[in-house]
Amino acid sequence: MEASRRDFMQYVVGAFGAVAAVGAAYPILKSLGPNAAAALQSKVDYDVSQLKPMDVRVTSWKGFPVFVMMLPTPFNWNGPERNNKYKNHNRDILGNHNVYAIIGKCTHLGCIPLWKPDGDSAMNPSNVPVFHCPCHGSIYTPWGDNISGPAPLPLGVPPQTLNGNKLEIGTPGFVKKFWNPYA
Amino acid sequence: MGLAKFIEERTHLSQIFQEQMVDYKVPKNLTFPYAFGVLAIIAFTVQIVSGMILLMYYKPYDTLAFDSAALFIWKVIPYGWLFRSIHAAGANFFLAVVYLHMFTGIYYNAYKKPRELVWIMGFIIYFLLLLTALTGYVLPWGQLSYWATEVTVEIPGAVPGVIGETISLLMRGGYTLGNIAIGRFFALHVLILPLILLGVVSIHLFLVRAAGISNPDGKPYDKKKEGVPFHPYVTLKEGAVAMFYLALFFFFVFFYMKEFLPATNWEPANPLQTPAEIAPEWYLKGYYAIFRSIPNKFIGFVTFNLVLALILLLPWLDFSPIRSARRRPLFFAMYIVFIFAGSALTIVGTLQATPEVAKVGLFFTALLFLFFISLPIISFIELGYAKAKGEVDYAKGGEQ
Amino acid sequence: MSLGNILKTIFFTVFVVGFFFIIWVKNPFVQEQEYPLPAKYRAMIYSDNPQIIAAGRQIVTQQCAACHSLRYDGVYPLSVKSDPNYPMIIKQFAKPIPSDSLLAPFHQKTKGFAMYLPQDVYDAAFASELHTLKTQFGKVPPDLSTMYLARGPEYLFNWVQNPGQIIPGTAMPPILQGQPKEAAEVVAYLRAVDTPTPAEQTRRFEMGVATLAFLIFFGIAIYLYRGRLLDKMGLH
Repeated sequence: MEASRRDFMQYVVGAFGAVAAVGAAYPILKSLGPNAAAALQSKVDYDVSQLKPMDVRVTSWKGFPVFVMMLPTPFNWNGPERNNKYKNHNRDILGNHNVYAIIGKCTHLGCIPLWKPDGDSAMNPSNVPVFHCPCHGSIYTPWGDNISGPAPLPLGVPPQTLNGNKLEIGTPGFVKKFWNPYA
Repeated sequence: MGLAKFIEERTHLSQIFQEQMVDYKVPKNLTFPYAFGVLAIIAFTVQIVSGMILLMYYKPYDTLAFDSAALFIWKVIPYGWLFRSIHAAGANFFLAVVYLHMFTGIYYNAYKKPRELVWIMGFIIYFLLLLTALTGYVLPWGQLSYWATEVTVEIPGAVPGVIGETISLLMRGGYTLGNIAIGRFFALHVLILPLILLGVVSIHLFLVRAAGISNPDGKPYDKKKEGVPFHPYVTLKEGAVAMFYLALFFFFVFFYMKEFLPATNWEPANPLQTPAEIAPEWYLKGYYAIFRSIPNKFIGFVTFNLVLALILLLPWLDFSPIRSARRRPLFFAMYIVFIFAGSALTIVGTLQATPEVAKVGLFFTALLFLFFISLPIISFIELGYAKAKGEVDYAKGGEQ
Repeated sequence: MSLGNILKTIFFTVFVVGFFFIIWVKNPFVQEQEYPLPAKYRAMIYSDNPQIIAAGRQIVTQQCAACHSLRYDGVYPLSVKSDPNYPMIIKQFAKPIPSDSLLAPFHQKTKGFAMYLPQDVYDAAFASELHTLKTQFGKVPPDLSTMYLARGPEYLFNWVQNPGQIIPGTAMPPILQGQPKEAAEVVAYLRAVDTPTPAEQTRRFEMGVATLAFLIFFGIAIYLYRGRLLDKMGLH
């Protein structure tokens, strides 16, 4: 009887101690996390009224470099496709939208690919517009699908919506979910 | 649990715990004020943890410091307001507990043999703590931060000639309180002084264990018959007291920060305009009141440093073999004079500096010195009294 | 405990509590300067009413901003805002500060963030405007961001109506003389910049109560546990 009462108190004190530890850790951990100002980085608006077809502009979203693209309409692309699980993955997400944003970070080791609107001699055919990563030679379609080189996945696609002349990156719209190959 | 056994086989922690905490016996009659030492350690820990969080966001540069504290930490960083409040209130509570701990030691004569080294280490902690508080107060770079520190750095300038100027120059790193001063006060407050404090506190605790905890009655006691195991008799009692202390502390943190984040310090520092009332914080106001009461700056400077020196020298000023105010009515009376004078001087430090206030300050300064002067006299009387009654064996150096 | 011990305990407890009460709570030996604040205007200032705060901000941005900045809420002097470099400086150097629910309506164009310029950028980019202000008034008019905390509502209510009465010879003109309602609106806005929203205040209050209750119960639990342990050891 005595022993079990002592054990009970031991558990009570232990429980209090655990709550105290959590209660002290909670504000410490919260203070280390992103504050409201970081929320500003999660929604970026880009004015596309000045873009011309085949233009690529670089901006930033949540710390990622972002390519804002304008493709001409109609746009026929004769490049090759890679025959794997992600064949035409980004092209299917972005559909027929000629203004969109993709994450400009190579899924191999993180370099920023270069936009080659007149094609690249490393490709066959060599006159289709592609992204060519200078670090290890990965090649992506204008929609970011990887077709050649060591990159394992297509480029990331942020949630986005087109609101008049503003491409709102971070706001779900014609792209609802964030395709994140970098996580 | 497997993990517990793994650690136990390699460290013998539970054996160490048993020897050091359970088999270690202490007197049963330890009073409540004996808890102030543990509360000081807790207050220290609170300052270190809250300080670590603040350190991540504070910027030690004159154009950035105020905003880093008043805007980023206070309004942008999640729970920044909580950590700043804890650190500001905590500094005041830390010093309050240290003063209460000191005055407890003086009351029970815990500075006498064999505890003189404990007392000296404690004094060093007290002095370093005052420096830590001073260097910390300047960092938010408000009007009070700047001007209270400016006044304090000027005080050693009271020493005439080159010495005084050099001390002030060395403290500031220049002729004005600017980025060089912020930089060095920051380094002192955040790393140099805390590291030294940790070391001195460890030595202090070791010496306390080495000499044994004092007895409130000042009489020797039979450890085997009258002692109680340190754990759980003292550890859990002080644990409960610590929780109530933290409750009082967090009451101020959540509901009454007005005094610890004073209004004038919410104004950014302006080197060209002095606020209406500047004075150091309450823990230095006693010394400030002494300094202000004496017309000659140099003598004022010497006087309050003399008080510090006399506190350090207590074990030798008070050489009576009898311990503890409980058994020394003369000492008890002078102890009341001492705490009354010290408290009154602190309150005098809150008043505006007028000639009448200076006279009051002088009166209480005299009372304070009366305490120190009375100690050797009382010791002499008590020695005579004890000798006449044949109570004390001098070869053994008095009671333990 | 003997009578002597009880008396000593009471004496020292009262002494210590009394001393810290005087030092930290209410010092009867120091008279604080009181400034009158009629109850009607006091209620306006503490009301957390968005309309009053908006009216106050309008007065501040249109009248006070002739000379003062309030950088924590992105308010800059009119001469600074008409500097041709102003938009570029804000775009490049301003740090977005999240506004709470009472202040966010004033920053809709910037998604509820106030554009705060750090002190050294502000001082350097607009050095000539600030120099003009300094020549005009003897010193750069102080930033109002923390003025509510530094001076308090009673002082500010009287100050904005008649500064010369509080500090004779001050360079600030009596902008809102004879306009107590407007003065209350201005102080309500200054308070909104320096005080958390009522929702956040309630949250902090509840956090405090929870922490206090928790610690007190924890202390009691430890004491009871100690009692059990000591009973078991036969010592109590």
